[in-house]
Amino acid sequence: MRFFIGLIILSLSNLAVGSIDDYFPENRVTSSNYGNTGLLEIPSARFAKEGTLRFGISNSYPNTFTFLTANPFPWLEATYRYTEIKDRLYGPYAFSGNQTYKDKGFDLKFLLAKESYILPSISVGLRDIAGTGIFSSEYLVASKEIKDFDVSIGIGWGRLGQLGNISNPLARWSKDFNSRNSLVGVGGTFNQKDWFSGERASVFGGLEYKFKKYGLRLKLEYDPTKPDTGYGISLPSKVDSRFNIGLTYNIGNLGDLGLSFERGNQFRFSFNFRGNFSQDAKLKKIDPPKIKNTQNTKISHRDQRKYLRNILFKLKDEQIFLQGGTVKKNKVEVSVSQTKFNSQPLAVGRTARVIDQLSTDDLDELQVNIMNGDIETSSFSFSRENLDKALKNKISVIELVSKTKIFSSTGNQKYKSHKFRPTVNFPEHFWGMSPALKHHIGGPEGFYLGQLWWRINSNLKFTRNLTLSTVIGLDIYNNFDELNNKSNSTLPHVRSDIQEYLKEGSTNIARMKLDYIWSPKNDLFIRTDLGLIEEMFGGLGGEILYRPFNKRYAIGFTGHYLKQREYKQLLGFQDYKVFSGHLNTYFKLPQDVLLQVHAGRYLAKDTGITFDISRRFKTGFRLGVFATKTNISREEFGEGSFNKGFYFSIPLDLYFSDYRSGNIGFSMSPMTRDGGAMLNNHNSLFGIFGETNRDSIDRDINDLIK
Amino acid sequence: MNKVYLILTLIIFLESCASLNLQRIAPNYIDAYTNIKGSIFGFQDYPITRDLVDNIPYASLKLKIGKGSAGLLILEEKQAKNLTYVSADNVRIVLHNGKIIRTSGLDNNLVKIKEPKDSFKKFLISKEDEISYYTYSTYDYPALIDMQAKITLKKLGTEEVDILDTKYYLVKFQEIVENSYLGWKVINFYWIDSTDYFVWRSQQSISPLLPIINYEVTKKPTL
Repeated sequence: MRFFIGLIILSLSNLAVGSIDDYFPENRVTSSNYGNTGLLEIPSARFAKEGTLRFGISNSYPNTFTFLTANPFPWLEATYRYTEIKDRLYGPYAFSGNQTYKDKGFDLKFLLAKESYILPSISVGLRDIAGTGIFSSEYLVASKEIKDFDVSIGIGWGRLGQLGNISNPLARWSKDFNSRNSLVGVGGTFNQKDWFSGERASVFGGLEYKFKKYGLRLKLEYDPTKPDTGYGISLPSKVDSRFNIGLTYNIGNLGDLGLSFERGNQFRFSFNFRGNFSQDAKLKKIDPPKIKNTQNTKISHRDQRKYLRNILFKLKDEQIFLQGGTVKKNKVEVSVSQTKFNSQPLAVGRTARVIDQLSTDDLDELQVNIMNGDIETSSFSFSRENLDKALKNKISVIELVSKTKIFSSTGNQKYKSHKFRPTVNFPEHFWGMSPALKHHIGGPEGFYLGQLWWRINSNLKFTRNLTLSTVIGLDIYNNFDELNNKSNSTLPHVRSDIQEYLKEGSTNIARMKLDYIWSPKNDLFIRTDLGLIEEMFGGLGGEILYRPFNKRYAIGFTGHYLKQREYKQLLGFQDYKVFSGHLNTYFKLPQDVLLQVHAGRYLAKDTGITFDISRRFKTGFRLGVFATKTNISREEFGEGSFNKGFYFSIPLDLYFSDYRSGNIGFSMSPMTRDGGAMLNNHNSLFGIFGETNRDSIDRDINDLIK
Repeated sequence: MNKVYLILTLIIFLESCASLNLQRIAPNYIDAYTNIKGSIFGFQDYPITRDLVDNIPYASLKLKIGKGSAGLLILEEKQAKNLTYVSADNVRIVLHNGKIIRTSGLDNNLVKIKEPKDSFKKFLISKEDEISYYTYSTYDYPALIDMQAKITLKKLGTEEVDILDTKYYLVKFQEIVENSYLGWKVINFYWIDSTDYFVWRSQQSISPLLPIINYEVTKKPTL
């Protein structure tokens, strides 16, 4: 018995220790031609690590795939892809010249079972689910690692089932699975009735051999697609062999390079860039607190003015700004604002550290009220003794937090009543400028049209809470004059006139609006705004948000009276007017998943609901998808059937050795249509206050003594 | 149209034109360019001068990890023959006869190394030109216990070395580290004073997951 217990402990300890294989040069799962993890034409049951983004191109004749693949969870992989089909033209020569055909596609893959010692990893996937369906396939695939081999075997339907070497096993369960009707659709429609359907399916398989020492993978597969017969609108391609072979090389953390020989007559070259944003910063942070531990700088808090002035100057070194402070007996309370740190506990911890270093031993308590914008969102009340111990690593952060009062009283803004309040000379002006890019991808006139412009940001603060924010765009270079595909939408052209906006407004006032934001009661925030709210609409309106500090949800309402802006995007307007508003709910789910539901009236006066689900990783990297369904028909909406898209944002912080706020955002909607279009709300209340509740503080609490 | 932009631009720069703050012009792009340039060609070292070193009352060494900036590490502890140096950002390296035997604060750390007792020093004082033996290294993140490596030490001759404007004549020798399973093979170098066997400069790869570590002793500890 003891032997067995010993054996179990030994095996568990081995699991904890890890493996020497972790020390090989990069040898990670690689992408298939289509962008999803797999071999070449066929997928595998493998997944990249959660939080991974992969952008790549795989080039051959006739198909070149450009893809972006994301792994928001360890069990989910999503791929968005553009395919260039070189043996077909986009349209009539007079309209799109000799531009080749472009197709958009979206894939999903789900992990059903993780690999164990005996059983393989099993996944199910859908390829090209809401595109034109040229590559539409469904599959169930299993992958098993046997020494240095990784073997994948699966069943494919649709394009992956073209070989038809077995009858559809699901047809035994229901005859509905026998028919697969729409090979090619308009695009953007989910043909779920066709999923896993067709009289025949294919068994496919392949293997990868890992040359671990060299970061290489040799891939060999039997291709179940039949390019020689064509599929949908694809033209037949010559096939000399159904075996494809390829080699993929991991270039460290950067990505992969691949070369393959397919169909017995074509080479394919592929490369991709890869990043895992769930892990810590790409660069080690070298941004320690500036305050030094010295006895000489200590000042008694009994001389309140001198003491708080000293705190003000020392906090400024940390890029934290004292908005007010009060000393009562042996307690000091300060209100601070900052824009340097994404993590509120980090800013609070740095503030507490400065106060601790500057105060004499008779200070017993300190309270830090941290502000976002001009509103105190939470307060941390520390005992000096416990803070000291934590800073000297004598107690843990968790112990410090358990002895610290963390609360929020937004309805009672303490900075207004502090005895010491530094003078702020309004109006305050903040500005910045930088080059920026605009893109128009996948249009019939050209695959990529774009603009390089100079962006000038200005924030003019008239009083606390009242700000005029302006963005001016100056054109440097663009090729938008090639756009000639006017909107044929039957709905009001609230978004589909994008081409006119891009062409005529290449130098523009992208935004110029006045915001007033305040908190009249605890956990309640209100914003009113007026002006050129976004590039296509101006008007007036507001937003109300209830964000209970100790809860994981928030609820709000946004409403605006709007007028459509002129294409030149100066100060003029067109005739179209609309009231657009939404009831907004936000739920923080486990694993830092945020579910947003917005229900209401959209810009084209259609009514409906938007679901937005995203995951935030420890680093602040966020990955999300959204979809909107309103009361307009598929025909009225046009290509795409309904509004949908995905987005991600990468914190700038990750790429710098110092702390800094800001994100690199990317959002993609396959089609710019009028249905389900929402106003772009700059300064949305949830954007400002959504990450200030207790849940977010607890998530970042270890930053308190960094 | 031009009037509108003129007025707006004037409003924006009304307060700013007196002193145009260049740090507000594309600061992230400029910083990103610096970072990208650094990650390809190496980051600029922090200025470390003889005066700076002499003014610090502790023994010190200049350390550079991969393409990162070289920084100064201060002797924190001396225990038996193990010297622990610490950096401002809490990276610690422990040297034993000039060889890195432990690290902390890096992405992957050498926790322990087992090798024949004083093998390193014995070779220094021996008359042999080449010896071989095995070491067993333990790492964290990811955890790995007792990774075997074959070590081959070779003496290469004498070289003049300049450390912060002080010249030393030192014996250079190389250490070939091999793990055939991983296909990991690196060559480390040591520059040693033949009179007291003190290692003044070294270039070492201590883990397959870490870049090359270069150091030179800027102020020698009292041994």
